[in-house]
Amino acid sequence: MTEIENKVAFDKKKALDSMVEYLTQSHIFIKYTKNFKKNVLLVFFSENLQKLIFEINKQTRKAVMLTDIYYSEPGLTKELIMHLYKEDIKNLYGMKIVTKKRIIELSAMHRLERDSFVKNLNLLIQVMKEWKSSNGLRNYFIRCLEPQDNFKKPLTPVSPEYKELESQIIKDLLSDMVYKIEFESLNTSQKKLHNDLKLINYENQYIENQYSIYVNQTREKDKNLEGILTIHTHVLHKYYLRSIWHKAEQRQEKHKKWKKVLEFLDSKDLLILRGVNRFFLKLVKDYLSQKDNWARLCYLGLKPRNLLWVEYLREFFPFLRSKSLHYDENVEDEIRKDVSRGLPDRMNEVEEALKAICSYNHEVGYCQGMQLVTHFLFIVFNDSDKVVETLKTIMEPPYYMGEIWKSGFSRLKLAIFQLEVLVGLKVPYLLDHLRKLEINLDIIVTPWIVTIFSHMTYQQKLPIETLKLIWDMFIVLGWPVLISASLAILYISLDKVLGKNLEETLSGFYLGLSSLNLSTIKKFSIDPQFLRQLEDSFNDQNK
Amino acid sequence: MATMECKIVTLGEGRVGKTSLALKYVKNEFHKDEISTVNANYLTKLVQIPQGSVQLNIWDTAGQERFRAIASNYYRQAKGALIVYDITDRKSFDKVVSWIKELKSQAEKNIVIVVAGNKCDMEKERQINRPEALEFCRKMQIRHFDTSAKSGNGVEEMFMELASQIFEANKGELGQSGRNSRRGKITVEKTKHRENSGKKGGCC
Repeated sequence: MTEIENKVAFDKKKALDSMVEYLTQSHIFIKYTKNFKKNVLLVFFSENLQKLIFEINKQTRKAVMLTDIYYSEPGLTKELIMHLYKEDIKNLYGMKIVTKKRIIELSAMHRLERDSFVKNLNLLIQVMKEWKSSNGLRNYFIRCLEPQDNFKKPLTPVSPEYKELESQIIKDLLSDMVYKIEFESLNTSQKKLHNDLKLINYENQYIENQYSIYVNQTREKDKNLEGILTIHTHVLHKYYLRSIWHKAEQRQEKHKKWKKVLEFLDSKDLLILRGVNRFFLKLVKDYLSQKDNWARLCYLGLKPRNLLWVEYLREFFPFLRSKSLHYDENVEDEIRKDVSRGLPDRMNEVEEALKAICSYNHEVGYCQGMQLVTHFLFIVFNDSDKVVETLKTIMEPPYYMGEIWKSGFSRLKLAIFQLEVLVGLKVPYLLDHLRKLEINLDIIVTPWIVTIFSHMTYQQKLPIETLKLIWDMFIVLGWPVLISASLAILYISLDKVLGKNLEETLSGFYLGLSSLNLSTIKKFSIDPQFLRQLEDSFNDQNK
Repeated sequence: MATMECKIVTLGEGRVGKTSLALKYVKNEFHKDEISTVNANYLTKLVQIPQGSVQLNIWDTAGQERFRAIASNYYRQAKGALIVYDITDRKSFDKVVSWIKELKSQAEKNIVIVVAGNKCDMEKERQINRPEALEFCRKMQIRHFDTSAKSGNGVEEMFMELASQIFEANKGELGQSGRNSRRGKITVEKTKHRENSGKKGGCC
């Protein structure tokens, strides 16, 4: 495959990445009724992508099934345009969504908004249609490999990225595999069908023989018509059961086949697949109910995060609801003052969320740094309920953030201890260097751990995309990620730090962060068992 | 000419402007919405005073109470401390006493302390009378400065005073620099400082 094809496939992949995230966010549009009345409403897709929802307010919602939508395009119908022209309305950008039943007409305030909505919606419809056809998945992946008009973009001279190549190779393999599976299953199902037919024939004959014997007997004996009816329904019933069994078998096979395919998909693909129909909904649900599968997914990035983080937390930590409901006023004051500075926006929302958290667990109270975590979660979720829920969950094991933020910093001290040991083992030069400068590791890593690395992003040192990736892993794998990501950062900063003076050293850890990637963090992933041993010895020391 | 290197910590209630003061002095920068410090920042500046030159290594610490659990390290070997309060916030002034106590018990004996009443550009919202603050510091035998990280008022003077007091207090050690240099407190001037002083540094 040429590099150009790779690039195009990569672009396509990127378009899909953003599509789900874009469509599940709410957009403000104006909707027109048949009588040209206008309603301002929120338009967004349900989380499983099955319904397009129009929400006027929390009580009034209308939904259109995705399967009912044919396509959408920019522009409005003539009648509506004439009407709007009379009203002299300007700066509205219209679009039509054509469904089975009618044409829905909307308009947006900005052209870009309308265009990207239309583009993404059409892309979704296209993907769905393909997946619903018999060899859909193969088509989808073949299309990923072959250039398509929709995704032709001007090429920029980029160095070949290994990650893309890797995903291409997987795709190649996958399309091969799908072909094989389909071919094999066709063969086996034909054979099976053949056997089944034979069996049914034999049985049929047998039952019919029995039936005629019985009928003859009963006719001769008491000529009871009811008996005949009974055995008749019995036979029908048997046929019915057999057909269901047959269907179930076929289904099972389909299940197995798709399960193998799921292993190769990333979270966004799974989400689209889940929206196709009930079969896939169930299949993907089963797949996502296993933690191991999430561990695989988190290394690929859990996109879109506003859905998947909460979904994961709800799946595995569902019983965390409110505890106590009071906090002292000092905390309130502290939060207000801290939130009012340093955050770019959303101060009020962050403040309210933090108060909710402090009332949930007043033992922890407010620790400086929590405001950054909360603000970051607002960027991801855009929804305060989800933010609070996530914060509550990560305060408990296996995340332990509550014990990190709590007065006394018991868990933070443990983190520093674990890191000191591990740095000694994995990055020994660094430890020597820090000793020479007479500084402890805690000076460096405290802000990283207290803010789950978001502090680095707010200092504009760590790209927010990387931060999200670290969080993907943190959400799924918990505490050990704090350790392994810290180790990875210490490791990649080595050349910026060694041989430097104190000031340069302390700022050196923030210089190379744009090169931080998941594979480095993965390389430093630590056996949880070992971390636990370190924890034990730490506790022994402090007794 | 030898440079005295010394460690300074900034202390004070949260949000009084410790980071802003340090940044203003070292980099002449001021951000209206300075983000809260988690743990500590480190800044350094070389100061010329009539008696010689002092390199101030400023450890700017987090104000929140709970961060003190891991912060006791910062007092170690500190030669100077800058305690900051906010003139528009009574509580932050009341805390100054406890910071002084903490320093007296935890830090080196000859540590030099100065107190800064920050945000003096917001005179209208002042809650602590100037005479009251001055009287308090006089009793404690500590220099008091009115500062504003926003306008820069008093910042330079305060750090200069701190530097010269520290120099006076530690003159004795400078004499034995040859033996003591490994401890990192007193070092012979390095190459990068040459352009500042214009003279070539001595060598041991």
